[in-house]
Amino acid sequence: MKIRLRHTLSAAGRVLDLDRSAAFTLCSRLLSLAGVVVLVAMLPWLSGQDPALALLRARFSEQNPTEETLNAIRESLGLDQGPIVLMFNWLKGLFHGDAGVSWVSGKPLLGDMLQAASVSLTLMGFALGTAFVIALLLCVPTIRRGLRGQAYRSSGILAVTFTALPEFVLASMLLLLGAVWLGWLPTYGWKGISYVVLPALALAIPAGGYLGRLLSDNIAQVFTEAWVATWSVAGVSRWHIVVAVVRRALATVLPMIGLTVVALTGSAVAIEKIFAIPGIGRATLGAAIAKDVPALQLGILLMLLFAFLVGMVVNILKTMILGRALRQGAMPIPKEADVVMSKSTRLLPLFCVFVLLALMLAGLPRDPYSVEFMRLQAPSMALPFGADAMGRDLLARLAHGSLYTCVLAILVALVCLMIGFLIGQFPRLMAGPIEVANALPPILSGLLVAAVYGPGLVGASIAVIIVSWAPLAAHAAALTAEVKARPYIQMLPLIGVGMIRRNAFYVFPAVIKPLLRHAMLRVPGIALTLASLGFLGLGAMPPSPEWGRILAEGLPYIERSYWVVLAPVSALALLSVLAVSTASAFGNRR
Amino acid sequence: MSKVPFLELEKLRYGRDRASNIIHQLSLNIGQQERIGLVGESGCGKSTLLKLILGVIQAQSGQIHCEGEPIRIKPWRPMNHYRKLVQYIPQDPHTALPPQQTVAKLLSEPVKRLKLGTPNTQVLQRAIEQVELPHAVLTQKASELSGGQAQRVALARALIIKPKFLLADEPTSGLDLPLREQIKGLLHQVCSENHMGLLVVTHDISMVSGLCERMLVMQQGHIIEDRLTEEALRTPNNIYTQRLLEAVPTIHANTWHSPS
Repeated sequence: MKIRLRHTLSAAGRVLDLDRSAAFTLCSRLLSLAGVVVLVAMLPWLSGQDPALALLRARFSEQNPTEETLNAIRESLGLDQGPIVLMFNWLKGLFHGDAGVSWVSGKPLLGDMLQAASVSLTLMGFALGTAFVIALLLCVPTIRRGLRGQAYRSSGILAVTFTALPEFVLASMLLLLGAVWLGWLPTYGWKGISYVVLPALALAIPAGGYLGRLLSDNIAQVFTEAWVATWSVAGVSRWHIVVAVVRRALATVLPMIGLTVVALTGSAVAIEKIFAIPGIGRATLGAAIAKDVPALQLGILLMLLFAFLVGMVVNILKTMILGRALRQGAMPIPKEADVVMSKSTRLLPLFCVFVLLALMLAGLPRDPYSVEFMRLQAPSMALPFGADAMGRDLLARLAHGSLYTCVLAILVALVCLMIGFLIGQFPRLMAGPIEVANALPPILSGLLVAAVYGPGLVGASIAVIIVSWAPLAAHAAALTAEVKARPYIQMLPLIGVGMIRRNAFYVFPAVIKPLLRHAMLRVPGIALTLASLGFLGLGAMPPSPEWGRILAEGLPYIERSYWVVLAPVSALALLSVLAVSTASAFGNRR
Repeated sequence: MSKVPFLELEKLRYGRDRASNIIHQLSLNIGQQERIGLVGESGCGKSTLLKLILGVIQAQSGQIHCEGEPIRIKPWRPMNHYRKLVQYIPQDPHTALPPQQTVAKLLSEPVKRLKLGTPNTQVLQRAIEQVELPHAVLTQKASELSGGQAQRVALARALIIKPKFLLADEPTSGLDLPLREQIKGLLHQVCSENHMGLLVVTHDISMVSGLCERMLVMQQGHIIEDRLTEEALRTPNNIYTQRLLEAVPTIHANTWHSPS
């Protein structure tokens, strides 16, 4: 009796302990979410600019900007009351259905923004539907082989690369192929069902491909579990086995599905810009560039709300599918799909670097800024990639762009490494920020930083750092825990080594090498993200030859002269091949 | 043995939570320059007891006195006085030495940290001579050493501190038989030369009989036998000690028969 009581007590203790750490994580999550909302609410103050003059010009163009009228405007916006009051006023207004007025047009925002949001939701719906069809189609061969008892793992590096293309590059490709060369579908606008096809595909192919690969690998893994064999020997029908296997695999992949859907909100901004769709992403982007802070606030808030709802739905689905197993913490951690590469594909990253170096060698001696050629001059021997809309040499622009995109990406990766290492020392405290940083699409953070800091190279780098440190921090935390458990570290106090010296001279050197390799593996991906911000006009300013910028400048001329888009798109595609192939060729060694 | 014991353990208790006890209310006195062998089944708490004495983990209750003074054990707090008195050699020297450091560096680290003087070449060479290694070893990295060399370096690192008492956690378990004999001989020699006490955890009964005058047997967190080695081996009081003695390999040339 006594023993049983003791057992019950210790079990209860264990449950309580578990709950305490769960509560800790929940607190950290809520705090970081609240932090983001406060940040958004304080944007007008943080942006540090005086909108009074701009407002006056926009509203009453004939009136002279006297001090009195400016003060009146400041007062009507409540800008003189300080950040805290401003924040509470904004939040209070939101509860009453009033999101303020645009600083540019002076019109109330909420109606227009909700209209835009419904357009975006429609697009998102189509994209998600297509993505799930793609994902399921990718899983069919795995299931068929699994039922025959064969383990099947996807391994095509080409397919992987295709799904790893950033959406804005894929969209430009699709636009070039489907609308310009084949002429099957309309290029821009939002007037009917045919206008949805290309943007939805551009969003769905990467997301569906990624999820399909992940799910398929998980299904293959589940088929190797012992219970599948037991069930089939016991005569359970194939259909039942398939349902059980998919359910089991789906549960593991669900968190990644949530993250992918949230990431789509970021990608949708770029897609809406390319296809000129009047959605919330385009509206928010326009607001960020025009510094229309209230519109930007509302747009970001709506997108965050969407991300939050997706997170909730995923959590509910997970609980429904898993039930008890989840509460007992018995589930394995979802694994990132890894690509099995043959020896020849290991040369792929080297090949990419070689091509990039050749591009630099050919283009660096040429001048990227001077207007020497005809506008949109076609490619020729003297001008291999053609000229852009201002008559500048595209080869020279791409080569110079690659140089400083690479340097900047390496710098960003190093800063992320430092932040990751420091934060990795306190893994439990930082669970919330790590999650927020993981879930925040880089484009959203780019919009936020642009609002505070103004668009520019430094702002774009900060935005990329904000979302890129998290994987490094998670890796650093795992490595540090492993190193601290080593016997020679545990016995250090015996020879008089204290805590600080241990961390600086024993833990740090052991951790830094694999972390550095990890950070360098992320350089091509970071370069792509920087390019996507440049593409949206949140990064490098004209006339700097940044790749995303070059693509964005070329897009309006896509129908007349395809080469202004083809050259930067090919360069960016090369970069994504480099990103994927380095990660899979060298990533497993860490 | 002098009158004040060198180490006094008083009702030490250690466990992961309240219900489980790895060490039960354990009390033990260890005299100056006493050599003790500690044996017991795997998982009986030998290594935990060692770590408690070393002060790298903290007992839930109980007290340790060293030379009559109470020792406040706080892992990661400097306790330099106690560190200079009690040192340790590990079970697996390869994981217990920082792999990227040279032998010279890892030998001079305790000298600097515990403020024992300046670790000049002379000091380092003497330390390495004491464990019968050539001077050339000083420039090698710990990861490049062989098992026997690494164990000697670990011993040298403990000796350079000039402790009064040495704890050894299965110091020969990773080595082959001739090397075991060498390390055993070396331990005997350095203990006598430096007037140093020794507590050695081992599964090797010949180590206890050859080195230690006193033998402890542990089972489930308790000490169940604490006698002079000679007596304990002649008339074992409990089943575990008996089995341990029976398990000592003796070689008979004619015991092997072919299966057919």
